[in-house]
Amino acid sequence: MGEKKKKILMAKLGLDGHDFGVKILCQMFRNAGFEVIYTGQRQSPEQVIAAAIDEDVNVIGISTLSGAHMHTIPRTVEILKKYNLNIPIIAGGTIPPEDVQKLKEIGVAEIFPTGADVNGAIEFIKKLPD
Amino acid sequence: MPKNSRWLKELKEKKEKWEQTILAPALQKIGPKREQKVIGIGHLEHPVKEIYTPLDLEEIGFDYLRDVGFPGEYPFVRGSEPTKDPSKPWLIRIYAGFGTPEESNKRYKFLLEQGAEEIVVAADLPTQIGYDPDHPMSAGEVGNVGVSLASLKDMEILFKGIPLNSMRRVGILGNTIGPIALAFFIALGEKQGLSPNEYVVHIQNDSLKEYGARNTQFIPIRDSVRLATDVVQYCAEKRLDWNAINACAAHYQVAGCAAAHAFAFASAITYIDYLIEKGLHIDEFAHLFNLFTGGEPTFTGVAVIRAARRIWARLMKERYGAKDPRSMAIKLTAYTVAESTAQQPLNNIVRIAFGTQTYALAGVDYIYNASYDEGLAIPTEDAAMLSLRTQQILAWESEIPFVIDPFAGSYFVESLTAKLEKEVLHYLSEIEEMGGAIEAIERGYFQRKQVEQGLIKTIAISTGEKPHIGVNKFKINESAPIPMFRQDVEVARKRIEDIKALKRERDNDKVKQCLENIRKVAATNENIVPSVLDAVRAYATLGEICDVWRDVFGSFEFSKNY
Repeated sequence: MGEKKKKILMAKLGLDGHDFGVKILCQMFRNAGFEVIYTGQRQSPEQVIAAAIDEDVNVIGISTLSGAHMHTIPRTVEILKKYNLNIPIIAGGTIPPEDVQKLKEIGVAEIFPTGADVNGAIEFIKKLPD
Repeated sequence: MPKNSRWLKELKEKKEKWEQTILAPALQKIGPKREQKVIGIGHLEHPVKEIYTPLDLEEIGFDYLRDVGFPGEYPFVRGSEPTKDPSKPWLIRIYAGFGTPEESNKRYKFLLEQGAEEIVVAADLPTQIGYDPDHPMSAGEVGNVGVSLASLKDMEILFKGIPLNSMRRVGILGNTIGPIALAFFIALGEKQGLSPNEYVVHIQNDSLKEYGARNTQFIPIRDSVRLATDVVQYCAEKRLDWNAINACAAHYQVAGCAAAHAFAFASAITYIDYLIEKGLHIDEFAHLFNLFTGGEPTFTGVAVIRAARRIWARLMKERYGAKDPRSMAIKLTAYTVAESTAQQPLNNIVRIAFGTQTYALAGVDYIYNASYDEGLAIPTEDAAMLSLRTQQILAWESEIPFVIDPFAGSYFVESLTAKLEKEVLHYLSEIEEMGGAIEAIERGYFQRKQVEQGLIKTIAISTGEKPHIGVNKFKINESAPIPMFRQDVEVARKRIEDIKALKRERDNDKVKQCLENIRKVAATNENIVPSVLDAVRAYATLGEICDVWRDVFGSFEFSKNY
């Protein structure tokens, strides 16, 4: 009903190079009607946030498989807070249950660990404010 | 087998009669049947028939002597060797490594005690991308997905009490750090008092795969291919019968990409052309190649391997004029992770066992298999041991190794082999029309094909069209978590101290000279390996050597490539 297309920035942070999953997700999000931008690999939190501002996205999606999530994601959250930026972050990939809790506590909006249903992520993004 | 036209005509008539009078009513009872298309990952264009008969061999113009032949003979479809030692049907490898060299050394000793015949060193991402643990880019990644390795000192610790010749072979990926990986093993051998002829090293060294999919690249693509082929040239000239390079299909296959083997062959062609350009003859180095496959279900897995052996043999003989049978008989490494899931992870034990069985049936030379918990974390000791046991049970309790290439002559498997061969050659010709693997990667062809073809599988699973147990069928409330391996959080701090200590203890002037020499050699067409070997012997770090490369060749720029 004239609803604005949700815009999502998909990101790979640090040295983590396995990006087949994130590319597949980009396609599935596009199929779900979202506008999707992919940062490409080996990005710093600063680069990702700059791209999110430039592109005026509704949400940042971080894909993480290499185990560096407790380093890269808190740093990204910290920078967003420092500049009072109100862009929600969601994350997915190899994130063990205890880290899911910790990341939510520091302000990550939702976590979709390996095995999570992609439709859950789609529903979550749909409900985000425009 | 009588194959005269009267016999075939009679067979065709009888088959049609069977279809109409026997099969059709049976099908009617079953009700509307979904067309079975999904055979193999991504190979969606091959609908599968109810049954296969000699008519299918006729359709592909099957000629046993021409298309299959005998094991150890051209076109080597039945394998590179005439027979196999029943006590060693294939080489049992395991891919392992995490944290510090000390921790991984303990794990290696355990795995070797449990019957692993080859350790394949899993290095962490900083190591794979040419950063020392104290580099800012390494933050958060040290020791995560593999062991942190920065110098010969670390290699000495990693293999302390494990002489390289006590294993049947030793391996590492090292796709974009090939010359350093090679130098690490040669220098370590020297420290252990061994000459390189006393042990065997298997380096994956397929740099193109990184640019095409895996993304550990850090210098421009052509320079990386030069370094990879320097490794092959060095082994050829020193007559080291090692696996100096792999043409890799497995990574693409696991993504669900039907063009995977075409990517592997296109990459091999690029390396071969570089080596010929360096002045080598095909028969001096082709035997140093290995084909790396993995990730398909049974029939597709067996058929694509048989097809790949035939493609390689013909490529070597017809395009490159190889005369030595060793050049034409490609050896295969297979890896299986077998569509493992995070849901009901114990199911992965069964999946991986079937996946491993596929490669036993295909008669590959070297096998390694994932652990059932590998999608969630570094495998626990018990999980890694179970991977070994899976191979050992297949090797010594099953009938599989008794007969070489047991599927040969199967109406179905020969037909599928021919179809998959055609499919690989089709994609290969598309790549060659673009100018080869490098150009195809630069144009994003490898990357696009993986996503296009992988997406088909992902969607089929998400809609339930392709059954995946525990994911879209027989789901349960996951209440009993499996034991998970936890990393020591102090790894990075310890590794940074290791580097500091190393730099205090070594002869830094010597290191500086060695690095300057690498810089000089890198700017010429000379082989880089001797200069890297000298630096490694002097305890230069991996990061220092890679920094020189970055300086001379430039850094690879990642772009929004999708």
